[in-house]
Amino acid sequence: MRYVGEIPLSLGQYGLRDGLVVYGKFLPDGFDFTLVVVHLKAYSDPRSTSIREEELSLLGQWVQTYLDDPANDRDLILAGDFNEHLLTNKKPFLSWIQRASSTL
Amino acid sequence: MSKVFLPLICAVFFVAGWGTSQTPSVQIGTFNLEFFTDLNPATGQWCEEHNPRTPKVIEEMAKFIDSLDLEVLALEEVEDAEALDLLLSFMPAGKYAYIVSPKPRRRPANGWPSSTKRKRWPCAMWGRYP
Repeated sequence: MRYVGEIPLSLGQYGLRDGLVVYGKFLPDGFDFTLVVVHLKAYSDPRSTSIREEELSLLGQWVQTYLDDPANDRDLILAGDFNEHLLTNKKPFLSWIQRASSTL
Repeated sequence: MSKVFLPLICAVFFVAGWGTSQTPSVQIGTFNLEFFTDLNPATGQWCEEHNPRTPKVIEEMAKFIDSLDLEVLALEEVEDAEALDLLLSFMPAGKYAYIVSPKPRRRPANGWPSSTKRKRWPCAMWGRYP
């Protein structure tokens, strides 16, 4: 595995965390993938929710941009602590993901 | 000497497994380790004073994680590389390696907290962020 970079999910705010992007491959010619690890803003107060929605929107855009580039690996895995019930609460994020996935 | 606690995001991976599997899959686990420190007061005294974990607890955590037979672990809220070294010290030697996100370098918008607050605020803040 190797370090690829970060996604600026901290939004430039101290205390929030950027996403970590790493690339992994089973050697010598096996399955490879890109893994994104995130830890999004916690809590459900209006400010925290707003920040988290902004982080999710940014992450969704990053995913779409990533998958739009044919040079990038198709196997993209998102993992981490989203502090959110993505299937029920964050349809905008899911739409980003679904739209990006449809390009595969 | 106190130090600001800025938890990191990490990817820990099973070293030996990479050369053997040809299947198009990977088993990944993700854990928020909730304020996982290196047990060293020199790198965060306040944090360690409020850290409920003992080496024995960490050893049990490590054995549990190792028993899951995962190829990759995505971990959140880890203090530093030394904390990861501590966790891995309770796992089979050489079995895992890791990548740690860089330490945040930004200053808070209003500047760093005062020296008094600096000992308490970052740890308290992060400690409440599950």
